[in-house]
This record gives sequence, C-alpha cells and structure tokens, in this order.
Amino acid sequence: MHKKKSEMVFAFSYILPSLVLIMIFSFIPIAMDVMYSFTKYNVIQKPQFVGFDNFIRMVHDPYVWASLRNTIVFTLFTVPVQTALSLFIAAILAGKCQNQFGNVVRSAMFVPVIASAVLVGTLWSMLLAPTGPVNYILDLIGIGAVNWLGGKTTSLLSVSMATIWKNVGYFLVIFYAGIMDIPRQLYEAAEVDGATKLQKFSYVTVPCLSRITYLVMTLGTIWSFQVFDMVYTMTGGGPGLSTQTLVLTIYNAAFKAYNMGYASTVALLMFVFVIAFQILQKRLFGKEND
Amino acid sequence: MKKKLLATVLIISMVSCLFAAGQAESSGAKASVRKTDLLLWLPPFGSADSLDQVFWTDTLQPWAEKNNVNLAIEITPWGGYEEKYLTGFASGEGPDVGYMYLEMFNDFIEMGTLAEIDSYFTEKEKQNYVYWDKGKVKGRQYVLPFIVGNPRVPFMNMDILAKAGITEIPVTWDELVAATVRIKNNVPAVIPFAQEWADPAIGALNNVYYPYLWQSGGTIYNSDSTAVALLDNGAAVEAAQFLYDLKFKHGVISNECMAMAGTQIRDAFIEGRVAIASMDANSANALEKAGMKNWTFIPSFQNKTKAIWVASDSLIMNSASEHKELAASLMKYITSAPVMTRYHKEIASFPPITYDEEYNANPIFKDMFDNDSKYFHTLPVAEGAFMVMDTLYKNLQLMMLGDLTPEKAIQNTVKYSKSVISK
Repeated sequence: MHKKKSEMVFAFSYILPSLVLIMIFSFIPIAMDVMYSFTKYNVIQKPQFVGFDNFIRMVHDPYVWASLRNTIVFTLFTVPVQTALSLFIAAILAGKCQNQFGNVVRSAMFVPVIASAVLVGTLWSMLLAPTGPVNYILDLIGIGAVNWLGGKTTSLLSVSMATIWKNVGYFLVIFYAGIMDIPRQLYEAAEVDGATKLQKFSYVTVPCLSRITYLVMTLGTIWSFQVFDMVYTMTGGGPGLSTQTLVLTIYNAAFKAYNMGYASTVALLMFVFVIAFQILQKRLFGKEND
Repeated sequence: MKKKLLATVLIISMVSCLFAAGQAESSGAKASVRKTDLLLWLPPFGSADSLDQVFWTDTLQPWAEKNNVNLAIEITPWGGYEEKYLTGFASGEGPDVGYMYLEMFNDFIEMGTLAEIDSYFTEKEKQNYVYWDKGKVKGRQYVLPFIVGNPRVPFMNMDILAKAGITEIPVTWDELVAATVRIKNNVPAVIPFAQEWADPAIGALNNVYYPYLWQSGGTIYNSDSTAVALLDNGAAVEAAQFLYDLKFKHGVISNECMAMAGTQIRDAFIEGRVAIASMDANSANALEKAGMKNWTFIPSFQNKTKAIWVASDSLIMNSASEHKELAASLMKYITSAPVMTRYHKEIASFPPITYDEEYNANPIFKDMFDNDSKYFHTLPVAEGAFMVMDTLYKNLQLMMLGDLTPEKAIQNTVKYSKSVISK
C-alpha cells in the first residue's frame, strides 16, 4: 500500500510541470473567461456582476449570429481547399521536383506563412481592387471586373482565398515531409500490380498520410476559427455583416466597446463551437488515427 | 591543483568585476535620481514613424533638460490604438501625457483614466487656445484639443466638369444631382460622384454619410448623448435616401464605388477617373504632389444647412500620473506656438490651435477655417459610439448594395443601438 502511494507521488511528480503549465495557460484562462462572461468589465475598473445579461444580449445580437455563420462557412470552405491544395502540390513536388527547383518552390510558398497577416491582407486588397491585377486579367479574358471586397457573396470568398494562399505553404511542408516518409516499397509493389499514378496517389499516398491529414485539418479548423487580421485589414467585417467573424466580434467588444465581459461571453460561445467541431472531426476522421 | 587555483582566481576576478560594475551603475543612477521620469505617447503623423520620433525627441529635448525630466517618447502606431491605451492604463504603464481621438473620450473618462486639466492652466493660457471649449467633455475639461482640422470636403475635377459643360460649381443637393447626371451623360468614362463604400474602417462615414446627415439637420446622438437620435427627425432617412437615389435613381454613384476604399478614391481622382469626391483636406497635398492642377473644392454641399466633418483629437493627462504639474507643463510646451509652427510645417499640415500661431496649413483652406468654422461638426462623445457607428456603416453598406431601404437601414441602426447603450 505504502509502495503504491509512493509510486503515485513519483508518477505525479513527472506530470506536475506539464500540469502546472496547462493549468496556468489553459484551465485558468478558461475559468476566468467563464467568470467574466457574467460581468460588465472594462479591465480598468472592478468587474460588476450582471448575471445572465451578456448571454441574453448575445442571443439577440445580430453580430454574433452573423459572425458565427460566417466563421463556419469560412472554415468549411477554407479547410478542405487548403488541405487538398497543399497535399496536391506536396505530391507533385515529392514526385517530380526533388531537386533545386522543388526546394525553391517550397521556400517561395513558405514566404506567405512567415509574412504578417496584415501584410497579406493589404497585398490581397490591392490585388482584388476594382482596377487591380486580378480584375485586369478577368477583363482581358472577357469575364469582366468583379466586386471582390465590396460584394456580399464575394467578400468572404476573397478573404478565404487570401487565407488559403497564406496557409498552403505551411501545410505543404508538413505533407511533403509525410510523403517522404512513406516507404518506397509500397509504391514499388503498387507498380508491380500495374497501378496508375492516380491509383498510387489514391491507394498509397492518401491512406499513408491520414494521420497528417487529420493534423492538418485540425490545425486548419482552429486557425480558421481564429481568423481576424485578414478580415480586419481587407473588409472590416463588411459589407454589412458578410465577413464579420467571431474573433472580430470579440475584438470589437473588448477593445472598441471596452466590454470585456461581453467579449468573454462571445469567446465562450466560440470555445463551445471549436470543441464541438473538434469532436465532430474526431468522429468523422479521427478513429482510424487513434 | 593548478587548474583549481586558476579557476578560483578567475571566479574571484569575475565576481569582483561584476560587483564593481554594479557599484558604478548604482552611483550613476544616484547621479540621475533627481530626474523625473515622464512618458509621452503620440501618434504617427509624419511620413514614417521615425520622422515623428526624431521630430519630437529633438523638439522636446530643451523642455526636458530645463525641467530635469527623463522624457520617454513613444510613437504609437494607429493599428490597435485603443487597445494600447486600454492595456497601458490597465497595467499601470500608460503614458503621463497621450493623444486620443474623440471616439475614445467617453469610455476612458468613464473608466477614470483621464485627469481634469482645467486647474493646471491659467485663464490667460486658456484664452490663447482657439478650441479650449471643445475639450470640455461631460461638463469638465478632460482634454486639450491638439489637432482640429483635416475636414472632409468635396473635391472637384474642373476638367471633367468643363467637359460636361458645367460652368457653375454645384453647391446645393439639387445642383449636385443635376451636375453629376450631366457628367454621367456627357463624360461616360468617369465616375460622376465617388464614395468609398468598401473601406474597411468606419471612418469612411466621415466622408460618405455624416456631412449629409448634418446638412439635413440631423444628429447621431441626442443633445445629452444618452440615446441615438437618428429617428428623432427625418434627417437621417433623408440623407440616406439622397445617397440611395444618387446610386439607384440617378446612377451617378457607380457600382465600382461599392468596391473602393478611401485611398482608391483619391488615386482615381488623381488619375482623372472621378469628377466629384469627398476627401480629407490633406488629400490636397497628394493632388499637388501628383501635379494635378485643375481641381477645386467647396467647404460643404448644402441642404437645409452646410456641414463639415472635422477631426478633433486631443492631448490627455493620465489621472494616475504622479507628476501632473510636469505633465501639464509638457502639454503647454507641445502646444506652444513655436513648437506647433514647426510641427505644422514639418510633420502635419494642420491649422493653428492657438491664437498666437500663424496659419501654417495649406493656404487654399485658410478661407474655410476663417469663415466656415461655424459649420464644423465633430463626432459625439457618447456611450457605445463605436458599435453604433459600426452598425450604421454596415446597414448603409447594405442599403447601397440594394438590400435595405433607407428607412430600414436607419431603423436597424437605432434598434441595435438600444442593446449597446445602458438604460
């Protein structure tokens, strides 16, 4: 009995450092968020308890529901596209360009990842301007100019495109490393069986990368829920509420309206949705990766 | 043994050096202990952050030396501006003297972060400030107006107007409609009347809506700033209807405007693609720099009255400052005529804020500042102002996209405002 207890203390001492860090940087902030969501609080004065006022306001707040809808649409569009695109490019680079050119391409595609989101947003605002290069090309091929940032249906798409462009380089590197780790024998065996390139990609590459794909989709989902800088720079949430996202709503509540209590309430909603999304994702894709 | 001895000698010598250095530092600190630390936050108005930093460091050095102050100057970029002040004050690291714009006053006063400055200024000093009374918020003098200017005014490309056969500059709303329709018919390649409806910042309203609201006799908040007054009379809807008609009835605000930001309007104006556009007065410098010659401006269009949006940004004193007398002295020095003359000539072209400074802004606007200042309007200092203006902008955007009627856009704004203003 005594030995078992000392073993437990010994084991606990191993996990203690991580536990302390997780407590400080995850659990305590979550608990504080829950606490502040019941208050009116501007960071400088003492919080005032307001009961469920913030939650009642949130239920009736058009900003919140529009931003929740936009964030979900943004995530559902951005995550699959950037995952597929980065996997596709990684497969091409690993298959055809394992040379200096491939290295240059990978490095070039990583540049947007390290660039600030504000810079990327500004760059894309210029590209998508009414008389910008994108509309110029569309004009040349006879499609005509598109109101990218000022249209209700195109503005969220524009922000998504810019985000995908920024993120693809990062996920590309992860996929590339994953592909390089796939045993060559699997491809050789497939070749012996007469598999085409597409079949090798579908039946060897994709299944072997399932764990990495799961990681990429999880990270992509979390990043998409956090989208802020790009929207702030490119559209400010407009036109109307068409690009208003959850983090932008939280930011405005916290730092423009100085209402941290309400911002905490919306953050709590976002927390619940991220968790729900993760559970859903785990159910759909995660079992085989456990 | 020799190694151990050598290591011991080295350790002793290192410790001695460190101790000696520490002593030297503390004696140096003792020498400067009498200096008072003061922190000043100012925004970037020069062409680069470094320009402002160099200017203020150089300009304020004599004052700092004279008052034995260790003055730290930080140029705070516009991005996340309110955030910096909020976190600065919350952490006790806020500036002794700072710069705030109008929309920030209400909340920071409510938080108790701004000191009343009235008692630090003599009557004679107060009388020298042109806009001293504009610093009176909620009945008390919390701020010292520092930049009052950069009005939003309608600019006109006279070449385009001439091509359209317009000889008289449009002033009234009816004249504006007639002129822009004529431009649309006679000079089809240009935008007759440009507005930045895709600008990400709600400041776009200073150009695209507020002047028309005030010209119709409306206000954003009621007189005691306790409620949104957009539905108190028909002015807000009238102004919205006017813009709606310019787009959908007369077709003089083109669809391209729904995709344009403020800087793009200015670029298009310089390129000769825009006939009439409301822009900030500082755009005149860009037009002159671009070599554009045949343009003019009027202070305001006119409906029931004239109205001009004007910035009113101010210096503030931190209520937690331990050196308020010195902070007030610094505010006086910054706003003194010699400093402001240099500032307005070298960094930012704004009109004078004291009676003893000569007019150093762009001379073409002098007449407007002399004769039309009675039409100047500033934004309200009121609870929930950001969210009210944000929702107003977003509803008006939807109106200009054809999704909402003018009545509905204003009704939506007023309805939402009730949820952000405490009862």
